[in-house]
Amino acid sequence: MSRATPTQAFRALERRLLARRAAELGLRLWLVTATLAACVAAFTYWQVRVPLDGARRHGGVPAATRRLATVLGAFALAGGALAAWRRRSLASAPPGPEWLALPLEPARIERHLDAEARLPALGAVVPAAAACLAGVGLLPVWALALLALGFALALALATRLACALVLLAAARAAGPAARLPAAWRALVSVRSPAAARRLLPARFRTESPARALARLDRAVSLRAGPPRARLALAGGALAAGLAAWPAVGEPFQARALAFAAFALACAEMGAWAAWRAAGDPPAAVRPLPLSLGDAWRARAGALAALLGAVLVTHALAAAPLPPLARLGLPLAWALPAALLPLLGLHLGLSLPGRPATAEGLYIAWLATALLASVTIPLLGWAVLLAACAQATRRLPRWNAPEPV
Amino acid sequence: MLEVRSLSRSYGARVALAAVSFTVAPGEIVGLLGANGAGKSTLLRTAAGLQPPDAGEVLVAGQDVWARPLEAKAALGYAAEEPTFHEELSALEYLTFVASVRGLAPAAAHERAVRLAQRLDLHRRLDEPVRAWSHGMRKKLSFLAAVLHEPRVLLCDEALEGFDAPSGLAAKAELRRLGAAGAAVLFSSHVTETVERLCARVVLLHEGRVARVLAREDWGAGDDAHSPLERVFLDVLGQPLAAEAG
Repeated sequence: MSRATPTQAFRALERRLLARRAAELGLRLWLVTATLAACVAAFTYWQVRVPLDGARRHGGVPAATRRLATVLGAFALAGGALAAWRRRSLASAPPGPEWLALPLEPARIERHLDAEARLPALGAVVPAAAACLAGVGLLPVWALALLALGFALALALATRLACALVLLAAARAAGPAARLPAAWRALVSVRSPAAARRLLPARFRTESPARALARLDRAVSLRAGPPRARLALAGGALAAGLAAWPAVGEPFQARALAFAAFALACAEMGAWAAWRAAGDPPAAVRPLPLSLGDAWRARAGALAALLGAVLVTHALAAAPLPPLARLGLPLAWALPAALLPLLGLHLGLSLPGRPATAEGLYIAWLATALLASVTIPLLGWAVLLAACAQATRRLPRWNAPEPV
Repeated sequence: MLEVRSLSRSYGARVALAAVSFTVAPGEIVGLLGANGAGKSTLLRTAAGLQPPDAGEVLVAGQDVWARPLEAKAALGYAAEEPTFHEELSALEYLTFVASVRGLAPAAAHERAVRLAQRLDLHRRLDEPVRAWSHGMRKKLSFLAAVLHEPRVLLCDEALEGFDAPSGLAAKAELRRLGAAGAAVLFSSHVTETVERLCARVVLLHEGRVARVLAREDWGAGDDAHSPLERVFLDVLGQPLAAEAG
């Protein structure tokens, strides 16, 4: 048997990884994925078909072609963004062995990681195919074929460009590593220990476990990492919502904008709650005498205090609204303020030690609710209520985690 | 006192623990030996409340870890094989959290944390984020957090592997001190020499079952090639003594 080249070895590895992941998904998850893909495709079809028909009637084939090309371009860009997101996480923690210890060109390893990062971008093919299908009967077949080919090329280009940009950013290095090629620098910087910097000395205190957890949350959320990123986004959205009142003159327009920003902030707080509730390292925290009640109170208390203060501030800032509407505003907005963070918190508590999974599930529920609301107004809230009830039923999982 | 009663756990078709039972009395340091995959870490993780058993129970100071977790864990310390921490926090921040949750008096907890950190040579870096720490330092921190409250039951999962020699000696001295003070210590390790010196009794796990329980007087003397426990261990595994030479 002849020896395999590195390229053949990587191809075999990528094939095996794909096969293993496909097998690990299991029949039930395959069915769920297929159903979700069908829902996304159906939704996209109708969302594209109706305006495309309008464009065809008013501007003819060229206008409809331009419109469909714009839609497909947006999907290709979304694919690029997905690849960039995945490549970024692969750059900071590449799965696999200590790659640099193997006799391989760093560029070859980076190509493998690029290929891994481009896989999730294939998700953009589902809505793109549905969009192309929406053009059947409205555009000539040759135009549809050209658009489909153009999308494939644009997706390939966007994902490759995204990976290259992320690699460039990851390859920034100082010191001796700066002389190395970019691919090598990126891999070298992954494993190098973080620079040690001293933090303010901590103080031992007497306090309840829930209070100690809340203090821990605050410390973790102030340092770089996913919880801080979610809180920063929530803070930005909260500020934007409050700014909408003085910035927009028309009262009802201002209220709509402020509510949209407030709902976004609530969604980000839910993501923060999912990360913090699921993110405590099991070996460090689970052997401690902490109860589910402690873990719940620590996060729910902080979220309730923050959101309560924001709602009152909104009521005070909503000067363009009549006094009665201002008074009713905190009550009317209390549902998203409670529901979204609670959903994130309960999902996080039911998946201890698995923050990324908890956040993934949370985002999937939000996306489903959004789709439901776009299809039938307000149906999304029913979806969120159902999700919250289901997540609440899973809370005992905090005590007995599921095997991973 | 630690009581493990008919503890079973499977991962799919693979049986990790099959009705394992034994006890560790107050003041006793018991070694847990077994080949890789024998079920040692599963047993300790289950006893520490990290993963539920399929059947059976673990009593820590008379409290079931899974039925009355708060009461059991108040008496429990666990030093992990692969410790994980909040990477963003400093070691001292983590220890203050552990002390708060365990309801320790702040001044006494601070004094004990610093004293133990000095013995384990961690004291100069307590204010650094754990992210910057080496594997050995993380193991020391996990051990420090496990013994901070002077637990009545201590579970050590390969806890001293990765320690430098002076820190290893200090940790063993702390274990002996805790044992003398009445703690029940279950000490898992691959290093038979450490177990021989530290433990009064040894539980040998093989393929998820208790293969043998040996008291110090049972394992006899070694020879030039093998320590006494190594001889027993190889016997349980069914491997000839000459395996090392071969």
